Amino acid sequence: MKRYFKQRNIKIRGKRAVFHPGRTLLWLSLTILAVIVLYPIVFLISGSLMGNDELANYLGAVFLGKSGYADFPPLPMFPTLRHYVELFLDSPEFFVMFWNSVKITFGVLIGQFIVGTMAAWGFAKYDFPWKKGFFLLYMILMLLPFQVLMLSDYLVLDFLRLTDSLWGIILPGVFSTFPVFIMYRFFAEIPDSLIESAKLDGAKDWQLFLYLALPIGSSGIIACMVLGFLEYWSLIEQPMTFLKDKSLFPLSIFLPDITSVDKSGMAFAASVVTFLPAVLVFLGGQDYLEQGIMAGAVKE
Amino acid sequence: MKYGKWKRALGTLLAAILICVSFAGCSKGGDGKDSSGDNQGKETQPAGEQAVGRFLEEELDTGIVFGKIYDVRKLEDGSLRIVGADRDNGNAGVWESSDAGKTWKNIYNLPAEVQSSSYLHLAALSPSGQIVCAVDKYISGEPHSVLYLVDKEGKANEMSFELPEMEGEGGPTVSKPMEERNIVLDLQFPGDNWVMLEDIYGKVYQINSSDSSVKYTYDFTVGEMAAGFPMYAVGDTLLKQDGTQVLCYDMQTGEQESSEEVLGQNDLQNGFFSAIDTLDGGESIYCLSKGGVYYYKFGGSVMEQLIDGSMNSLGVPSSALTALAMIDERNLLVAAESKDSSSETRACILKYTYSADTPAKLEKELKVFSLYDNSEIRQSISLFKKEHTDVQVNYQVALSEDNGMNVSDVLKALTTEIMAGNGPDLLILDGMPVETYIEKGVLKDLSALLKESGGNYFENILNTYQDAQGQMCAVPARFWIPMIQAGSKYFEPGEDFNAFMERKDTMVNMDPKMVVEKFWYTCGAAWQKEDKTLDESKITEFLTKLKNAYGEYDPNVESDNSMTMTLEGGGMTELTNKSFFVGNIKLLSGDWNTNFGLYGELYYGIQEMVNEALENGNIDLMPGQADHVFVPAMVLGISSRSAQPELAEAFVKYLFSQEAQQILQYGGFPVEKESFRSAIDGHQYGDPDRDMGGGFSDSNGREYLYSHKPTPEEEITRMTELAESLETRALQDDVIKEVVMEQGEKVLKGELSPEEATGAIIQKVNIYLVE
Amino acid sequence: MRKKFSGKRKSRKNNKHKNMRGFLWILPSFLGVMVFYLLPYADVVRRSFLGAVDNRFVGIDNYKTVLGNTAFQLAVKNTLLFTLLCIPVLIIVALFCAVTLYKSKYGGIIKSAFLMPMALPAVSVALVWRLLFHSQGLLNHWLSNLNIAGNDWMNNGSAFWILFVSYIWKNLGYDIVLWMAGLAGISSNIYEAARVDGAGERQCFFYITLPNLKSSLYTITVLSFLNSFKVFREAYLVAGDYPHESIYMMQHLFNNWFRQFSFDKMAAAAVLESVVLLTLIMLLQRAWDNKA
Repeated sequence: MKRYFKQRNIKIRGKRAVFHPGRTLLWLSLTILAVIVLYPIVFLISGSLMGNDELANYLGAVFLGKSGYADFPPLPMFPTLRHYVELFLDSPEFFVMFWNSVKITFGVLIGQFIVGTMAAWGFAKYDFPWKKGFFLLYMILMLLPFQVLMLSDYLVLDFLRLTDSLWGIILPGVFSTFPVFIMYRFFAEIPDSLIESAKLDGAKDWQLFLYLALPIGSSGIIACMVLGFLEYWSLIEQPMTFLKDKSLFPLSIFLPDITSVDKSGMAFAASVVTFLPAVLVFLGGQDYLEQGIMAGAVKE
Repeated sequence: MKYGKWKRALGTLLAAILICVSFAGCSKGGDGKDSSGDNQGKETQPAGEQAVGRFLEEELDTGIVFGKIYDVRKLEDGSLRIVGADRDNGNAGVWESSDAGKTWKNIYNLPAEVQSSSYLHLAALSPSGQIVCAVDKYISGEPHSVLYLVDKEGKANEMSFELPEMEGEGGPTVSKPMEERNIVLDLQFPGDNWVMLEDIYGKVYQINSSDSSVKYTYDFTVGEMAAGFPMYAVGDTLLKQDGTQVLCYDMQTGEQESSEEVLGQNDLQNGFFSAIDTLDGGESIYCLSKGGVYYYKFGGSVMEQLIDGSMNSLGVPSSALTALAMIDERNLLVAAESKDSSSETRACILKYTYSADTPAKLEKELKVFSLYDNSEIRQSISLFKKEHTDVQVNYQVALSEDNGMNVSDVLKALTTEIMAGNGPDLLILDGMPVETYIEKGVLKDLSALLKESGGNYFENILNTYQDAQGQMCAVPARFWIPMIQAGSKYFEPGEDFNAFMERKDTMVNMDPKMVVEKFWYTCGAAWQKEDKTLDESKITEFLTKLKNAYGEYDPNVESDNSMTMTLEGGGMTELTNKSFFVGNIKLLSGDWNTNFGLYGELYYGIQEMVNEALENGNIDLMPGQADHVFVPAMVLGISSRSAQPELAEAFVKYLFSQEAQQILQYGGFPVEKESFRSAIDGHQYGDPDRDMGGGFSDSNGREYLYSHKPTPEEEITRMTELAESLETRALQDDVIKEVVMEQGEKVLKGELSPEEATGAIIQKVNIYLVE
Repeated sequence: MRKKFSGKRKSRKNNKHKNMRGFLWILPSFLGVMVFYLLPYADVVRRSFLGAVDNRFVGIDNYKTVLGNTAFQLAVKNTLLFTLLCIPVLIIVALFCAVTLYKSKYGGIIKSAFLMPMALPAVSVALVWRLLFHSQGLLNHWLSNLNIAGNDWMNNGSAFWILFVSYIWKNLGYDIVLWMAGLAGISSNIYEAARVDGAGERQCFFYITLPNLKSSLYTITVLSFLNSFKVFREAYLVAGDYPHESIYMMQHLFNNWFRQFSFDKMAAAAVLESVVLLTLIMLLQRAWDNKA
């Protein structure tokens, strides 16, 4: 318990470091780097605010096969919210997709929260035969690219009648082994002495899990959920393979045909709208991300 | 820590905004969501238990052979009436049935002034049984549209309504008649007071039936392309379709009430509605289109499909639907016109009755899959279904304009389905990697089947996919011939690739991508070496010569030369850039000096006119690195994992029968010899009394008129011999084709040297070929 | 479930009960893993010995074909090159940024900026990439302003470097965060003690920071490795099935094999890949165990 909180204290103290004059240059270059890193995002936002004429003008070289080069100012000349209006009001399919994304993402996260934490807890604090083997298996499965299992996955889902249904995306996500790997490391950090003393007080197994593991592990769990959110919010391969019904497609594969200019504005706007929830989750969960993921790996 | 707080506050704020926005949007975009929910419900339902309840179709035996049915309606007194014309004696009259359509009797013939020495153009029934007729009359030699009102007993009175001519500019939007006079496009008689009349300029007149005065005029001449789309009147509401929605007008006030987007969402393939009827005075409506019959309650969010047109003759592409009469919620009549075997128009009444215990889906399902829409297949399916009434043929076109999928995604999805055993039974392999499929054992051997059917085929084309063991896993039912037409200054018959490429100005004003695509067919076939990889020197030669012949790239050339053709029964098909046919006009107008491309239909009249317009005009096989090339089309293959192999075989057999082979919808020549002959001989133009012809007009407004004529015997023989001489199958692999077209376009535009482009092609394609 | 023993006593018996309970915790997850991952994987292994569509037994023929397949060799080469180059670069650059940012006031903001790309959906990234690296795209425009001849970036060897930058760009923020968390785990007492002993900044870094971060390295490597698979999405969305040969990865090959019904080759290659992964993980774990 104590050790865990100590980490936080250290972090706060760490921030009062002294400035070094030689560092200014370094800092400058880092800031420039950050600006470069952010450029594509600025690019998307500004593109989403441009009218069709402006977009055709700037991007015609790429999308319309016009001669010359594409051009792109950081700010639109005549900003307009037209594409957002179009997206929100005139394309009902966008909302269908938005909700599909929400359903998939939260379905997976809730499932992972239940199944994943339990498994992580089991791996972290219990001994059972072949534990190492199981864990190794989990790690390999975590690292296998999707394409490897694509066909067989489809056959299994088809057997379970889960193809062309959101469940066919959600269920494999729920049982993904990645969160187990992340949370395992966090739970493993909870000192055994703490558990032993709780047991001495008469705590049952499930009580240990609910009242000890979950609260202490909360930042690890949240970190995991943040990563999970990003992963499933921008899922591409699975929905493209397992879903045929267009009304089930999630937002992440929504990209209007950008070769026609009147749709490219929509593509920019859709990108920004897809990006927003992910950023919000990131901003909100960033602190947990730091504390959560590494806790297991840090040893003093 | 301050920063953290600020960040979190910002995050929360943005989240709140986002949620608000999405909820606000949802209440608006709710209908989209609802319908998706419905879909889900529908799709999951039959999985558990077979859903029951379906409308069954029967053709009513009216005892009359109708040449035309103008209107059908259930009158206020409960009886049914037909206004139609007897095909045998040409008499137009009214038939009545008081037993829901079982028996019909003629109650009167339309009076002489409506019929004789004039042409009854349109007629519409009112709820009380009055009829309004639009008649084309010759008054002092000039054609004239006259309206007649016929009362219940059959007495006609001329209405004093004069169809106004359009003054000023703004020509007619629908079709330009030679005489340039206004004509009645549509006529409706929704209540006894009002006659609704739509003219070709896009104006709708609301005419008082008692004194012929015009109460309101609805003007659709400008704006959202509503002109030319049909109008419907139900109860007190006038409905007018435009491209995306249906506009509603209150006929009491003449004001626009609302616009119903849901009604406009009838998918594109079904086009517009053919007719609309109501059972409750216009609160809710029943709409008829080729997609089936739909029910819509005004203000609702979904249009409910009551009858699926693909399961019965509503969806038959070659028939036209003219009227809908609702008897009650479970019984309805549809008037449909189609051409019979002697290609004369025949109209009939179809009755649909709801049967609660019939399974909602037909027992047997045959799944047909193709990448691109194929009109011949559509037509064949409906003909096939006539003989196999218990079969539901589900035709899936993977690449359509609006689904944004690419070939690769589609083929991947197809792979999973086939492997899971719920894939299509019959594959139309055009554009698919046929050879890979054959090699992997995806397709069944069809050789026995074809031997059985025993037709007289162009064996050189039919057997093109035959392997060493005699197995034929893929068989083309049609084919294209790459051909060229030009004056002798630009092309001499029999000229080879090298000679042709030496000439200058043969390809002026042509889009580079199109040029590459067309020559890909005649050249690509020569590239493949024995180890399946491509011959680099041949590609370099191809690109270098093509670039030399093409000359400088002019960025102003038109890139889209496709044209839309109307099919029998009102469907549309698009002839793409690669088709020979679309180049005729360009060649005539002198924009192009040569016209080449895939040749799949022969109109001798047109061909002759073009040849005459050219200096020593000629038409012959298109030169290329390979000789005597053909492009297989409608390549058929049965999935080796088909759930209905017998049915699929029966259908393939049908597709090779003369009946199916003789369907011509711009999809290539039939591979069966008799049908090939009938496709090119122009027999339908043999009647000297019926001069058939048409004209093109080019972008400068010049018109080129031609008259169709039968093809001379020597030309038929020449074409047949030509077809028999074809020996090289064009490389049918869209993966390679796409790469070649992409790089070739860059070469012709001068962005890449032929050597660089060849390098890029070889690099990409060879990975593909060795995978 | 048997009644639980209480108390600290650790007898063999007690352990045995724990065994049961421990497995019960992972049981729900394991059942799901069985159905959705192990079962399909077993099917893949089975298929690797069978013909593609006809399912006849062919022994190890598929493995032979795959190993002799030039496309497979190319894909393996590219994938290995990419992984071996990207992961070390990413980890080192991220460490460098993390150490710099860690001790500063505004580090948080810059770190957040670096994190943003990770939240960007692959489809949007592809859109931007296409505009930037098209032969008539923005990059060439800027270069032409500087009088440098442009390039069709996605269609020559530079495609590899675009993918490389794309990967670093997307994952840098994430790895910085991971390193920073690692840095936070080092007690400041050690530094203070070292300073008292007269150690400079450089010495502190090499003798305190680095050794203490060794244990974080394992997690960061595994996570970076995992994320390296995801660049395929962008590569696929920008360049399609057949990109320039320098970025033709294992996933491209799998994808194309899949489309062409080459399940035999696909399964064999998948089994080979998982064997390689297994070895890699074992090695990493051993290395980590030694260090920790």
